[in-house]
Amino acid sequence: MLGKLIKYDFKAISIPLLILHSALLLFTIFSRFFVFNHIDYSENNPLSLFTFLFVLLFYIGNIAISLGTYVIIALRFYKHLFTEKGYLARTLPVSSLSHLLSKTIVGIVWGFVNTILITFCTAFVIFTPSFFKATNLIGGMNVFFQVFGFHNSFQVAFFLIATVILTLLSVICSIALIYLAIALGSLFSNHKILASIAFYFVLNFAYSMISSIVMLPLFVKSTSTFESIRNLPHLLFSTYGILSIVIIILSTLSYFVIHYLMDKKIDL
Amino acid sequence: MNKILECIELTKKYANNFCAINQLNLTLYSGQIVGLLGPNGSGKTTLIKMINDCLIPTGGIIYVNGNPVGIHSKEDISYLPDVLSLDEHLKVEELVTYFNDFYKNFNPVKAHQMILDLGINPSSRLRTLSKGTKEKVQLILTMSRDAKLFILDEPIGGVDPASRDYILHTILSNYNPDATVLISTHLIGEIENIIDRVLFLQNGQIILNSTVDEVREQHHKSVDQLFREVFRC
Amino acid sequence: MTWNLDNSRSIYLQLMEKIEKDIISGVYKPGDKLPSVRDLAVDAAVNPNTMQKALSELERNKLVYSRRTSGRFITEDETLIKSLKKSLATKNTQDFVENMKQLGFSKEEILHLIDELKENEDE
Repeated sequence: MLGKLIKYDFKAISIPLLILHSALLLFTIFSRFFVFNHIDYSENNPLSLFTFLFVLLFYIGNIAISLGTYVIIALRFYKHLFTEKGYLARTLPVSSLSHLLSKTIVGIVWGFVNTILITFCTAFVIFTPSFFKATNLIGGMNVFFQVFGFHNSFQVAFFLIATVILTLLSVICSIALIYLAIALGSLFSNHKILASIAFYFVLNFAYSMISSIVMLPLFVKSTSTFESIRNLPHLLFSTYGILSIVIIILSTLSYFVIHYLMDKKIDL
Repeated sequence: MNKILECIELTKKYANNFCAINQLNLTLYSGQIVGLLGPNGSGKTTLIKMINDCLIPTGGIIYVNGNPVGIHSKEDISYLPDVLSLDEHLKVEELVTYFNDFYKNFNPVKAHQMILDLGINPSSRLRTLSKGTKEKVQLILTMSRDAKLFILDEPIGGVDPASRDYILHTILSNYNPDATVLISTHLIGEIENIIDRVLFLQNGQIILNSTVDEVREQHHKSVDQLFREVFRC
Repeated sequence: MTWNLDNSRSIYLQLMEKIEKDIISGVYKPGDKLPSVRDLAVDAAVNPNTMQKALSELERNKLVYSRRTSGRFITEDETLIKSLKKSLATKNTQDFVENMKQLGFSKEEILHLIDELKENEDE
């Protein structure tokens, strides 16, 4: 049954999301070949106004598409379970846990795809031949890693993989945040959407605060000596580690609360 | 004859102390078509939503075919809400597949036949159809299930007379002595002849529970007329 | 078949009356097989349980009998059908006379009216 729920949840949002992301991809390719390839990084000439505006547009476009992605995911969760369409969903012979799992999996997959694509597109427009030549990026990176204590490419690879995992965990947490805001907003009989948006900002602030408060002592301790800054791998891994744990705890708690609300509290 | 629906001391009280359903007791047996009648605000939809797990009771308990409200009861109930609850981005034939995917007792052949009978194009997306047609699709999907308890909330309300006849005809020809049909409606005159039993709901309580013939014999008037008397404004 | 059902009287009684009328008028001949309960109910747009009740009453009155696997049949007892015809005719006539009396007609005036109508028909 869970597989079927997932199938239909994907079906519901995939077409608009594919269109959004295809548009992003096309826009990126267009940007690279018509604008970014022509930027000369070697001289110290300032960017033309047109180029500057275009870069701004590219940046805003990326943000808009990310926003659009999460809005579409949020709307699917809200509409399918908390509005009139909920009459059909709630009367299907499946548990509310299955519903939540299905929406979460689909949300995480698309959130992750979105993050990866945005990262790729940004890299694609920045790392032009001119850029590599001007900054001697590849050479520079070697020096960078050596200075900061990465001794072999194995550590670098590990660091990159850890970054990807951390990204995935943040996506999971973002989805949890959105769904929790929606579930809490639905407790109000009027202005559900307004309440959900309000809860979103409150929760977002709260989660960020919690992460910062947990991370601060660690960060202060780790950067107190020059030696420790040089040992970047160690610093990064402990930061990543603690952050991951905080994210996992926040997400898990969120999902428990969402499930409780769906089961016991929500009235259609 | 077994108990298809049992509500024991069922209560729904809201935060402002408004009691929509007040310690309601009701037992429905199999093989009956029952009319649930009452003015607006009497609690009909509240009762129906609680049976379908779309509303949490504040007191009491509900059993459907011996099971409390949960996954098993949802397999046994086929619910037609009074609003359009289907995903509108799906095609009609995809909705048939959807129902078939989730309900073991769904009959896709029957559904397709009814879709053809009513001249609906199976490959059209639901959102492209008129409101009346969308409602018909929802009804077809609901009636194509071999459920133990059918709950129809205003099935003939916004529909033209010819379609009404088709809908009532479908309900009658679907008749199964092991199942029960509960119809909630305002159009009493239209359904009076097809229901066995009638329930009057007022202020969250059942004030009448008898067969249609008993009403006519005892009160010498139709159920419609009795309703107008009892619920006179 | 048109079943004209009055909402203020028991449905099952009216269903019985309609079927009795069909038996008397020859729509159903003695020994004919009746449609199934469900088909009759759908045709009359009534609840199958109510139709079942009507048919059970007709069985009790021996106008209809059922053979377990084959369904229900009209009685072949012509005498019974004739006596039903007579009793229904008598009731209708009595009702007619009563109605006419309420309109102020005397017995002679009623008979005279019937003769007049009969003559007009013959012409």
